[in-house]
Amino acid sequence: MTWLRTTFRVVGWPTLLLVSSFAFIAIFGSVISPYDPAAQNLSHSMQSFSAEHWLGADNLGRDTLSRLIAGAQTTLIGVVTVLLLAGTIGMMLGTLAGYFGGWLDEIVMRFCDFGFSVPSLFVALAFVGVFGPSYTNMILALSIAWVPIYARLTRGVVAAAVSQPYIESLRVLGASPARIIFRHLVPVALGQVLVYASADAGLLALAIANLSFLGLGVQPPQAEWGQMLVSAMPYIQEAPRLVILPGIALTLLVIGFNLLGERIALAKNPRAMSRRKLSLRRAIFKKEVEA
Amino acid sequence: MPEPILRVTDLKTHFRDSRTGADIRACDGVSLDLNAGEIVGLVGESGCGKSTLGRTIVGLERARSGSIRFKGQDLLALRGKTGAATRREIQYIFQDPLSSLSPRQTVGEALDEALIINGEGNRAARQARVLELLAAVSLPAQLVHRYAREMSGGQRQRVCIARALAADPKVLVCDEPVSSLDVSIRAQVMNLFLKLRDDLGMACLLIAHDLAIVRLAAQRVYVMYLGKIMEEGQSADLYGQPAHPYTQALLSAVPLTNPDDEQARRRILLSGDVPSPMNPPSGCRFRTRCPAARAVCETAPPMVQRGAGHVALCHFAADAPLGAL
Repeated sequence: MTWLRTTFRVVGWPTLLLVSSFAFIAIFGSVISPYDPAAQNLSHSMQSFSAEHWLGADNLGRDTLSRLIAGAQTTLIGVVTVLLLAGTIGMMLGTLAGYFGGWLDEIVMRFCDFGFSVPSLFVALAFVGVFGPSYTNMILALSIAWVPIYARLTRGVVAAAVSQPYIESLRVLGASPARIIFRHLVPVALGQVLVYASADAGLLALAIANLSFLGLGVQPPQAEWGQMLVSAMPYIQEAPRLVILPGIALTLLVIGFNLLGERIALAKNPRAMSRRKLSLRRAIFKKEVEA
Repeated sequence: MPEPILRVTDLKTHFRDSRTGADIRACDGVSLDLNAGEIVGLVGESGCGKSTLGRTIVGLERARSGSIRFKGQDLLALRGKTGAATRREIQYIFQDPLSSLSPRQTVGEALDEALIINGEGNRAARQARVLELLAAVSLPAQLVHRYAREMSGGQRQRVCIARALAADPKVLVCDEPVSSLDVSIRAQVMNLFLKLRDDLGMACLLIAHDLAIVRLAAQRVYVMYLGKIMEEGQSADLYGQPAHPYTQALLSAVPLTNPDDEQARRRILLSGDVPSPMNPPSGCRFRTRCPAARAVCETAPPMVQRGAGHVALCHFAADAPLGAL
């Protein structure tokens, strides 16, 4: 159980609690959810907090709590799928580019430059614009938009490792490129990619909500936080909770992922401190110098 | 004289400077022989191309032209599986043993992997061989479960040597194998090379800038400067009667243990830096820094025979005073 203790020490209990409770909700959502998130009950329309509907009901009388839970499911499944797809494809491209170099490296990196020059969200928007809005298309679009990030990250790690003497001595021993890539380079890159992905997950959750808010992602009646926000907009005066609650859920999830990513990155490399912490440190140092 | 096991002829390895597009002539027409069971030294300043030469021999750099004949086959022309099997018989030892071992492998795993690459399929046979390899480099068997960071520098370098031995090499190219080690450990590792030569008949190209280490181990020595061999000869001849002004300058920089000798001797101080290998001087490469340079040095110098197997690339090698130092 040492790994559990290590995780606990590295991540800290507030972050762990936050992220794991979202994971729990997403996994067991259909069991703990009090109502069917899509079931309408017009007699309960716009009901406020009550014993029947703990967090109230929306204009169609759908239970807000159940919809928030279903939203967590939609978001997390989306985030995980995009990270898996983009991470796998990005790592494949990045490893090949970093190991073989030359024209392959040029092609992959120019493709990445193109990806970076256009904001990821716009790439996703264009894709959805062409292929039509749906949950699947949104996930595919975000995956494509996120591939360059992981390709470049992996390429950097692999290119640095390739010139290490331990990789060169494997080449002298006569190891095949496949052995060097899969046994030695991919594990090194995977560590870095996981660290980055844990911080990136928050950004992705926001992107999913963004696209759905714009009507380009999750389509009604499927529940999703961004989509809940936009459908509650007309009732913002009458029932602000319909807007505030999904907002709080999204904020907590993003904070959770960001904290997780920051903690893991800090544990792996104490020098990679956030700018905020660095400036804080500088301020303290300045005070000490002045004193 | 039998055919040397490794014969490098007029080897050129150039790099392209990414900014100017000019050729960096790291290794510019080098010829070198290595006989079976012989330790040969290759000395020179940093940046003279000695590591590039070693890396080209094992295929880590691509040669521009020339040939590397190993056991009668041209390594540069070999392709495919048989080529890899032949090439495997030349192994390389890096300067920094820590970075030449994977941080995520134990000693046992690293040696096991080397044996797998070498085509040993049987697990039990590999385990036995790992212990043999450790014994061959005088390391205790308990080290199999250690990671590189958990060992001393000398132990790490021995593990690197053991891993190279897993490929049953005929030739070891050692690039500064002891310069990152403590002085007290150096002799042990050097003795290991001598033992490997005596026990296994292994030939060894010892690349170093430490002249004392080379003198201790090598029978023959090559002196390299700016991508070219300046002088070659039997160790005793080259150290005793250096013919090339560059060799003389190198030797005069080695401190002597007797302070009286140290006071009395003439030191040759070279001025200036090594010229850029992108644009080497015409004629003799050493003429820009040579204390004995004259007008004739602007033309390419001949290889002058000084004695049996002792040649120097200098116009004045024949009439340089014997025993100048």
